[in-house]
Amino acid sequence: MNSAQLLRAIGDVDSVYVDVTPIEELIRKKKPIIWIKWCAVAACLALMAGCGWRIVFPQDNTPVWMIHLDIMPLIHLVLIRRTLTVLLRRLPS
Amino acid sequence: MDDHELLELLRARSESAVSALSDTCGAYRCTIAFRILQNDEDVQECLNDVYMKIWTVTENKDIRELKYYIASVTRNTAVDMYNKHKAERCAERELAVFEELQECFGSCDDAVALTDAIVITDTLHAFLATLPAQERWVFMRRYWNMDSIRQIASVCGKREDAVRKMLSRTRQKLKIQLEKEGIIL
Repeated sequence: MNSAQLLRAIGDVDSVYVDVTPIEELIRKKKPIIWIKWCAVAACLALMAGCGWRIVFPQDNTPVWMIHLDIMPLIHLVLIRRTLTVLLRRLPS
Repeated sequence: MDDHELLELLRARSESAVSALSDTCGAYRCTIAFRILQNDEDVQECLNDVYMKIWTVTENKDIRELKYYIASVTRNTAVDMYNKHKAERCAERELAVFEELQECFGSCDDAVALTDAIVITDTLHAFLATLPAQERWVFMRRYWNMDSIRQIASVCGKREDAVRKMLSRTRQKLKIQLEKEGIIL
């Protein structure tokens, strides 16, 4: 037996293991998911804005009505994590 | 026209079956034959043989999946033709898949046992059943459909290197399986 015979033997395997869909068709079907990339970029920007706000306006000078911003980075992190988890689940395996 | 109607036409020896056969995955058959033979003349000769085989065999054979059957006959006829031409012309350029599969046998062909084709097919079935779905799909697309690594990578959403590595790992597993079954000594 050699590689030629092995290649020939692979041709005799059961149809359950073979996908006869032309690969060009499969490539056409698999559209690039651009919006996931942009969602990730937007999430990162939101995180940076949240953290940046804290640096520009330190806690001591922060007006009372802005105190809730202290926890903004944490909220962002949780939201980003949840969004990414949902998005990744939706990706085709 | 669905598979059942086409089979009926073939069994009835209708002339329209030939054109219908050409419509049914005709381009796919050309592609798969060309990937193996890489020569227009050989492809045409191969496709004529395929028509002939399908025309003569369909009468008696119970065919469940016509698309798979046609693709399988085309692929195997092209591989047989390639092997024949390779022996005759001492092969100008070897197919990449041959070189890849040679990894399973190492450098020495003499250390290989003579084995019945059915035993090899059974071993392959057992081997494929143990593989994870994606690894099996990639292996079969490469060595059954003869798709390029680039095409496979773009469908899987992986890098070409990752697909190459995955194929290499699968070939190593196959080598171990063939050794275990005594097909490779």
